[in-house]
Amino acid sequence: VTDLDATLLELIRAAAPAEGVEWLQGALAGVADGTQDLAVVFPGVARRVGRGGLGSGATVGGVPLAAWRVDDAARAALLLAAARRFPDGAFALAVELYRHGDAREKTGALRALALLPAAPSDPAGLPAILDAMRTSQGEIFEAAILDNPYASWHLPQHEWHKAVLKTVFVGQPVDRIVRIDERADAALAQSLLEFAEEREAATRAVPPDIWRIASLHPPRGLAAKLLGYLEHPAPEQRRGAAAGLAVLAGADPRLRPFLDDRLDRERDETVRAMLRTQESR
Amino acid sequence: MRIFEPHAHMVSRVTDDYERMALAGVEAVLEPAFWVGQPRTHVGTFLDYFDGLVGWERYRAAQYGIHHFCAMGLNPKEANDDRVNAAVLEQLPRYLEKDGVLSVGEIGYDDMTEREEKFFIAQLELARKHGLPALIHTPHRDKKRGVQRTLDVLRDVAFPMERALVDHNTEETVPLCLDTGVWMGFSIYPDTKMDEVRMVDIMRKWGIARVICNSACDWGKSDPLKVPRTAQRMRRLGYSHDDIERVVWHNPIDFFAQSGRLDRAELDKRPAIEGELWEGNSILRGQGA
Repeated sequence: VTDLDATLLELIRAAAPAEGVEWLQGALAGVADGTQDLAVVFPGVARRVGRGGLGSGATVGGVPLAAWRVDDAARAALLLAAARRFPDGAFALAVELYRHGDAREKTGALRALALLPAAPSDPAGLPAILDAMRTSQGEIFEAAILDNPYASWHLPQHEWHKAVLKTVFVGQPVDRIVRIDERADAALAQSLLEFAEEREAATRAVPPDIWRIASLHPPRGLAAKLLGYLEHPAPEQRRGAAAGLAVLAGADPRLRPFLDDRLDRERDETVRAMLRTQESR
Repeated sequence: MRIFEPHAHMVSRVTDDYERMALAGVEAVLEPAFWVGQPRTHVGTFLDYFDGLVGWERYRAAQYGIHHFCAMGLNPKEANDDRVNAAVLEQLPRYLEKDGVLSVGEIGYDDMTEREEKFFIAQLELARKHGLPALIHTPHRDKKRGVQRTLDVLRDVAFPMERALVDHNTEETVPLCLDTGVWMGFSIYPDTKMDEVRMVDIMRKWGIARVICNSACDWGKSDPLKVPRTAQRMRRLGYSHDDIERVVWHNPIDFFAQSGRLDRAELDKRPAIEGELWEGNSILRGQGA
């Protein structure tokens, strides 16, 4: 039993009923010694340990657990136990459990990927992530892409762009994509700008959290657009614009007077703080 | 009136049906695995179908506030097909452990062949092993003999009668089932096997104990509102609110709760929908924000 197993079990113990924990320990032992088939154990996990929030703000093995539920943690523990028995087949096993799982099983398998041995270097779990990117079921997509370093470690750039765009498209916060600043590039920024234009043409709202990401590799015209959004009546729109402009102003001092002009009139404290910041790139 | 629709093949229905069912009071459906109108030729299509029952179909139902449960099994028609029968049986254990799987089914006889009997009995054993009741299809031809043989098999293998729902009953088969302890299912169709007028006549003659009505709505001519229509017919003939609710809500719940996986308190809540306000998904359009 590793530190990771112990940490997961401790979190589960705090959130699951005692008989559920007891059941899980029996299942972990059975999967570890091969007397129980993980494919048959995996589906019934939530009935035993529950499916409520894990209630942990911790990051374990590089994985933020804020969105995890108790059954996700229990399923990850079971996959870790199976991985010790089948070290070369752990990712294939996770993908297989994903494929035949219901929504809860799928999220469990997807979230476990990043904790499996050699996860940062082994892309064998990618088929599950790619499949989850095509789904319309929110919780499955979320488990694959948001707070999941495995997706950010291994998705090829084209697919990773699509994952970011779908996150925006379905109204989820892009900041929950692990390593987004590191992987963002000019092509992504261009796509985000075009997405915004499509929304504007349809007179629909633009999710303001895209602007900081687009500003990391700014397409032409972005500064002017964000200065426009800085005059938007909705404070969350101004916050998004100000976050982007703070990045842009680091590289382009010509923006400074415009930010100061807004600062004189801005009432929202978050926006004011952003307008004072000047991030260096 | 709250309605638990205990036998509906929703994969064959459009979202309008879910909406109409919800408006008519249907709060939960149980979808038994069956054949799909055309033979499947390899085990993979079964697994895709099973995965869909616990996956997308559950999600689709939830959009309309309907809880979706299912029964998993190798149906009697395809139990005859050696391309798939053994392989499906081998895959069933993992599916019988899924959340929302409240029964093995539909299993039983169709043409009363040896193969049907072999896989029927094997699946009764699976039901026992996984702590599930059994939803049992009966033949539409040679119905009386089929029901009798079904009851004989249950007795022979000592399957607990109160954990068996013998489906598709008619006027002629009720007397066979009545004193055995099995639950009696009735599939109410637009104009063939059983209709709501005959159904309520049967209740008047034999009572409502262990009676479970369903619409069986599928890919053929069928009507997903047959259970609400039966309730309406009961009301017209003077049944009390409690009696109607017994038939269309409590009876199916009492039967399927024997799985230990049906939480009555959960039924009082709207089913959880993750990502409810997804903007890009047309099936969610018009709901929420």
